Amino acid sequence: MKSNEKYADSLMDAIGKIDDKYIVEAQYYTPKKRLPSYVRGAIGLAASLLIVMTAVIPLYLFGRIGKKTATDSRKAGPALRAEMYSALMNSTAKSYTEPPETDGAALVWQTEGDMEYHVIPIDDRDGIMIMSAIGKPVAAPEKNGVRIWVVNEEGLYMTPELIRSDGNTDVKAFDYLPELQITDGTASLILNIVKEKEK
Amino acid sequence: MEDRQIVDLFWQRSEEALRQTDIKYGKMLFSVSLDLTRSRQDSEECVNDTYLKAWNSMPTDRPEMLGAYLSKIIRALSVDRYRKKRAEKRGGAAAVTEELTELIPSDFSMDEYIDNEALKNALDSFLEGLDKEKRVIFVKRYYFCSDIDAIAKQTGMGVSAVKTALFRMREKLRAELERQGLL
Repeated sequence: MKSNEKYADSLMDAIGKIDDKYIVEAQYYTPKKRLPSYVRGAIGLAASLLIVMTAVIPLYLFGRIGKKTATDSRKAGPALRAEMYSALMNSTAKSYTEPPETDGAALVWQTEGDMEYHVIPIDDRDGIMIMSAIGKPVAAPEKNGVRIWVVNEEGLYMTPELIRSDGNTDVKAFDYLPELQITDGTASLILNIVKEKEK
Repeated sequence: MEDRQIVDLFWQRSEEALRQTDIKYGKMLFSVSLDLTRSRQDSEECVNDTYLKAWNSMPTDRPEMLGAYLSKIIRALSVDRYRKKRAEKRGGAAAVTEELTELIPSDFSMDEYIDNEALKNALDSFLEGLDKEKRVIFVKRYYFCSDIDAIAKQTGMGVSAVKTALFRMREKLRAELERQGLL
């Protein structure tokens, strides 16, 4: 007999002498009940649908997608962003020297070199729509704000971390991370929100 | 009947002990032996030999877990029987022994004496370190020599998941035995 076979026999003998508690445990083991695979699949599908619905339904509910607004049909690209820039500049936003705290959702922006924070409080539903449009999770109303970093009339950027937080300035602020270029859809949405606020 | 009462009957030298043991553990013992020997005739003989050995060992033994105690006896008897027939026949224990052989390096040189007590202690410690599900799979496979398909059914896992778990446990056991200088 080869020596490794002899060792395996010894191992088999040693396994035959393991503690009784392990033998009893194996004899009377009942597995945790697992859901059948088709149920697990259904749960996964339902979870996926829920995620999609969470992101999309608010937009439908508030009528911001699925129908074209007057702005959408007229302009796109730099022209649309320029119009949004103009709307922001001409709005009756309040200005602050420190990042302000607001009770609910808000649009906050600065232009290049600007030392002030310009703030337009917006409806909570508008806050939800903006968060959905940019693919961010909807949070408590006061956190559904957007900080817009206006570079110039041609390029308009938004910080990608758009949820209001304690940030890096020890005050209530928006996290500041590398910018994300705004899309036409989001520009259009913000433009419409500002226009409605200014009516 | 409770284990304690059956053991008392053994101690009283009452043949009722054998009847009650057969009622409570007969099927289990037959099944353990059948998994090892793959022979109904051998398994029936091993069950009878187990009763005889239990009769002769009680007293002086007073096992707290009679089922585990008897399963150790029948396992040892079945493995012995399998070894006697190894040259002629490939049984359930053959496949398991082959698997265990895989974890031993081919250039392994065994000393004349293998410290079985140290091996047993190393195995107990190895089993203690496993989570319950893995430990059950290991014991079912290498103590009871159950089929992988049967283990998969009993644990509610897939066959490939059981195979993977066994492979990883053998690797882990190899490392543990090497660490303790037993391999």
